[in-house]
Amino acid sequence: MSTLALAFDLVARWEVLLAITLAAVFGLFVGAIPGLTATLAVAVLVPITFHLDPIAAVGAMVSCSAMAIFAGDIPAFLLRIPGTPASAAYADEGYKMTLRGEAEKALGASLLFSAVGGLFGTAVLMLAAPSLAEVALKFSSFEYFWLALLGLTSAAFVSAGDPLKGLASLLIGLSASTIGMENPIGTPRFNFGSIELLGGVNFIAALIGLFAVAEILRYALKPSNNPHSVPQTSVGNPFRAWGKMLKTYWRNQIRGNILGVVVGALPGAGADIAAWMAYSISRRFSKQKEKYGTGHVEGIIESTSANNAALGSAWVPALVFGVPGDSITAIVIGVLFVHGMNPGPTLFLINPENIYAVFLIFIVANILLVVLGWGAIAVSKRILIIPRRLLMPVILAFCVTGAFAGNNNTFDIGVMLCFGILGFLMEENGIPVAPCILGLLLGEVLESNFITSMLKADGDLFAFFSRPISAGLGILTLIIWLFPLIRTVQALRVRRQKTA
Amino acid sequence: MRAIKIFWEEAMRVTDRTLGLVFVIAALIMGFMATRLPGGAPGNYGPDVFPILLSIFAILTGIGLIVRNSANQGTLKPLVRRVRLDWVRGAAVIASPIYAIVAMPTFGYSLTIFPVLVLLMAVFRCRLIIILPVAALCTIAIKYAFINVLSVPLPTATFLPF
Repeated sequence: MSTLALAFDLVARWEVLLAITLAAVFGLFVGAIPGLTATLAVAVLVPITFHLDPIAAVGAMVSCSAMAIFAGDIPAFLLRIPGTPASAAYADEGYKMTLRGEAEKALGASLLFSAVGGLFGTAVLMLAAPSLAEVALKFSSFEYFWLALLGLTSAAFVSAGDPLKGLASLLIGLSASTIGMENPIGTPRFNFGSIELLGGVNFIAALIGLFAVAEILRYALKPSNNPHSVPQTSVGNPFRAWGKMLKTYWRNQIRGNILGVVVGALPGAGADIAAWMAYSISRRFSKQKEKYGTGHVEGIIESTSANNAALGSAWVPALVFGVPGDSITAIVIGVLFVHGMNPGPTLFLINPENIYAVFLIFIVANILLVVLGWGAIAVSKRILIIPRRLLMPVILAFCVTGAFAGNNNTFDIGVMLCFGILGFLMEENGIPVAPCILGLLLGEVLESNFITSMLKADGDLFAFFSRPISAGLGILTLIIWLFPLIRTVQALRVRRQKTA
Repeated sequence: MRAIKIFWEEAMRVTDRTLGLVFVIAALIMGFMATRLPGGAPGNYGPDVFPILLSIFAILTGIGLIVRNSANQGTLKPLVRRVRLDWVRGAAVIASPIYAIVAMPTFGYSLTIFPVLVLLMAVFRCRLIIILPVAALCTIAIKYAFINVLSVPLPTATFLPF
């Protein structure tokens, strides 16, 4: 009997399929709640997986994480509250489509391209796992520094309409990320004596504040600007709309998938960074740049393709070398050890049917995503029928609970409120909040890799360009930095000539 | 043909010059605070390096905003649209999380969130007949979801036996 047939036998058992389905429903539920991440959903599942057999346990975690990542898009699009950090990259795009009555189209696109992205990531996982993992492990602090800076640069200069204000937003996020003890000598920094701030700013609380609380404040302060409720138009048969979207945006989908797979395979990078980078690249190369930020489905397609593809490829270093690609695979590695499936090269040699069973589970989970995801969209879009004056207080209650639930302390509710007010003021002044979120997320990665690289190179800045991949990433980043500067100087020169 | 640009300036909007000035001042404060941080790291790359670099970039960004504002002066005439702000509703939204911070450890989750929902719904002018049942139902549903389904413990009132 071939390995694949043995693997199929392992998966096609009722207890495995039941575990996958129930975990998928749970993932949808958790991902759709603001403040609760895909990582939390998987972490909550851990005690249950101890009672399952290894394949059912891994299956439950795979399907739960895939669903949670997609489900994060539902509150992001309907209420402008990203369920997960990965959804934050294109939350505004989806929300503006909802305000135009196109929630079904936005969510349908997210669902389809999430599933296709997930399947692409699985295919890469099956075909190229060992070789991709080898490349990923060659990344040193120099490459990670440039990768983080490239992600931040893209968010500030490319995805934001006004590069200068995008940079301002990014610097606000990076500055907030310096709070706490995550620094070279682990000394308290900018915590103003607060014990709660020693661990840094709670990212989830900040995320909820910047998006959700800012939106509630806008609704409260400007009643004349807000509709009573948001009427929606139906796109009819979703499969027909999908066919059209696939035909129109197949380039975006492929580009997003490839980017997602590459970024996801890098240890520590993951789906969040992949989504942000994909959105920036999509905007940069789009023929309809002006439509970005106004509710354009193209940005959603590329980002959502990337984040679900990254989910599959994050398992590459985890399975091949036992190095987690993101926080979810870090938890999964622990569960694999408990079940005696020690990650590493031996996993492919001893009982290879187990690893093929994991690949099959990925395929099942992504097919299940379409079925359950569509059901979730059909149910959740009814939220929009509810009058906003009734909905907004309930969302605030959810936000308060979600911010509290992260660390079980009320301090994070304060963090949420501060970032909510900050987000409101930023947006009122044309400063986009998205780069700020990415700055907060990547600040620590950027600083630690910068300091490590400086120590390695003994202060020699040219060392940042001494390795081929590092040099490539560095040059690309510098080009993006210089481009708006050149454009601004040119614009000023043209204006002066006209006035003279 | 010269394009005509119309800028909407709403109630909370400040000019790029003010924004840039705020940025420069905040960056200077951050840079100064960073220089006071203890050193002692190998190779002199301590906790002060990154914040100082950030403050330099922030100062440059602030100057960029100020310069752009000056360069644009005279060429762009903003069309000001003043939006009337409902401060009572805004204050209610800001007060709700503050109340939750203060009250939740003592009154517990339900006795904190229920009044918050009632207050906000009342301020947002919902009908009184639906405020109480909706607020009660939502409080119970959120509490049940977090405690029973997600295994997230929420605080209970310190003065109640249950």
